[in-house]
Amino acid sequence: MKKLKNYIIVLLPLFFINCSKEEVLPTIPIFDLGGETWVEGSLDQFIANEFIKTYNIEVKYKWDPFEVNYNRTLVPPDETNVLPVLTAVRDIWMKPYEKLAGTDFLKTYSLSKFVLVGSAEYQSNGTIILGTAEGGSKIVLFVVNDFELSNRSEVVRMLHTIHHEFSHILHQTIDYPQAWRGLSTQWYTATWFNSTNTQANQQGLITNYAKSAEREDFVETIAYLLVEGQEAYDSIVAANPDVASVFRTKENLVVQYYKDVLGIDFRELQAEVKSAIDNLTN
Amino acid sequence: MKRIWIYLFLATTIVACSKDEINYERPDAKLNRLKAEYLDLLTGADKGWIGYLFPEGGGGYTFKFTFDENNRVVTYASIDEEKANAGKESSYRIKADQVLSLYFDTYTYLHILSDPDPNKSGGSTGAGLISDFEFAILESGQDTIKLKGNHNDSELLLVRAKSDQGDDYIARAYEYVKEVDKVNQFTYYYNKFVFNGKNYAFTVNTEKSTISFYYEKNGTFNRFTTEYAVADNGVLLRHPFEDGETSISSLTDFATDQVAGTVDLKVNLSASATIENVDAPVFIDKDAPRRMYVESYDYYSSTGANYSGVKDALDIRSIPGFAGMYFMPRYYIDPYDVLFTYFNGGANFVGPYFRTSYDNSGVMKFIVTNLTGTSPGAAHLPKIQTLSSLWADTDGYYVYQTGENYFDLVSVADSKLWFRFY
Repeated sequence: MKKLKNYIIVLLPLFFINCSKEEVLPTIPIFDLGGETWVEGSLDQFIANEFIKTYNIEVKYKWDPFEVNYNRTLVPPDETNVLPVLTAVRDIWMKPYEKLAGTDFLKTYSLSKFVLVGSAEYQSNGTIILGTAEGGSKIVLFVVNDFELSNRSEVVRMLHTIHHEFSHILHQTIDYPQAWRGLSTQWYTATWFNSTNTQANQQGLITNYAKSAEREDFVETIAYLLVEGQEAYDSIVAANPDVASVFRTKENLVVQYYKDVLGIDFRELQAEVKSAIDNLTN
Repeated sequence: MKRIWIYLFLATTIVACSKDEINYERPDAKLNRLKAEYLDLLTGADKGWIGYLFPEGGGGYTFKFTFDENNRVVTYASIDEEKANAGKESSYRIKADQVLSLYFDTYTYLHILSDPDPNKSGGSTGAGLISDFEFAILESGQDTIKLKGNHNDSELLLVRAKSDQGDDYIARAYEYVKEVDKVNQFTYYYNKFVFNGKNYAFTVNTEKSTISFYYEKNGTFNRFTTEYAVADNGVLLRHPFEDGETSISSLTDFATDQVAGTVDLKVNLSASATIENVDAPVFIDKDAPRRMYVESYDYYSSTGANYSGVKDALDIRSIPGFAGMYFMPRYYIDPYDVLFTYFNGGANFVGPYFRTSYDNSGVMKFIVTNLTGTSPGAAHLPKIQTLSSLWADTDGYYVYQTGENYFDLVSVADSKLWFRFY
């Protein structure tokens, strides 16, 4: 026991001696910590005011290869087209929802990020991608460089993409009704691009892309009803009387989904989107 | 015994703290320092930088970039006349990728080459002309910066613009392409490049921006092809042409005599050289027909037959909706090859189908069976018939390679007649 005590006495000082080394923490900040910075222009200010401050939505229009598919050839947007695209996004997508569902709606089902890409993404099967939605939070919008407010069909195409992708975010948050299952199940196929829109219509699907999957069918129906509009939808239904009941069932399910899940009158939303498109493209 | 323990413990207390640390620059400090240095360098040139871009997909383009401190850059490009004369403003930044990289991060002329939309780039669908707009900075000096594309490995060389190289520099360089192209407007196809007492056969492919030297060394045929970029007084070669003591990295100060068919010019800015237009092959590439034919490639020509210095001598481009002429080996399974002229925007075609033969003498011959396709109308059909009979010439054609898949065909019987495919 005494022996042990001796050892402790000898060892004890060792605990107090250590390497007294004074190291100064580096003062230089980590490179690009907190995101990249550049000198802000009017575009950056518009984004800050209209998207970041209000909704905390980041809009990336400057090229970032790690936001997009790295093994595809893509180009950044032309700056002159960014403002028109963002104006259309604000007026035709955000404002109608806000008007009908209140200012908190977009904050509840919000995105965290818009990424703008100048060109389309070309796939090896010959199709092109116009937009993608990821994880309920990020939307990539392609073909910004072909956008013109004066060109109504371009505006419709782009806004169709946005409403399509945002509807994904809605059903990624709260799933679409079970009743949707089985309506067009036999027509869903990975090779949807082998059908024309007309062929798809004959099968009770609003576009050929709606054939790609059940969830795509759901969001295509929403986007079509909102952007192309009720009249266009009705004329397709009229042209395909055999599957009219399928179209009407889908339409009703969409209206019901908006009412039950989101508390929005879908008919009013359609009217808002229509008048916004008319205003902007005039 | 106890003491030994004590000494041992004491020893450990003494040894522990002698630590030598290597003094190195922290990675973040280095990145910050380099970024600031590069930005200073880029924005420090008042006349901007001349950029020589060699996309991975081929060709050579000259740009003028003027960078400012607000992440803005004004670009001029030798892509076409409009882009050579009107600057376009866009943005840039330096990004810390694995190597600090210069990003042209919004659309400008540079991106046209990378645009996957074939209507914009003129390249292939989904890939464009296989170029870059994000470049890793590999080396930098006061007057030159060497960069390499992050996506496709294209080469970009930035050279600080001199005081006389203002915003009209690219417009002047673009004009100079026309001076260089006079070499293609001489009577005969063949050009002899005389330098350092040696003769070389020489071609300039202005459509794909390549220069080729052909020569014989110890009895074997040699070809050297490289891309070039235009300057306002000549062309810079991407890779210098080297043959023994000869090294050629630029061709400048073209003084062309159209009548005599000669060009006096400067090699590497100082040494004199001449180009002489001659009526017979200087050297024959005996293996070229095989290389051209076995490649599974559709050869495109924008002009068709060139005769006596006149491009498209048969005026085939006047067929409404002309969309190019294609030489397509093994178009039919039989196998028959075709030389189709596409018109009506590519919806229709007309041209001969034939069998191709070549031999060890380097001559390619086409045994034409007949014409096929849609008639372009009575006014234009005779042109296609003439083309077909020229193509069927029993003496055949010599073949000269001007790039990876680029070939010139020159009539054996008449050195004034030639085709350029790429």
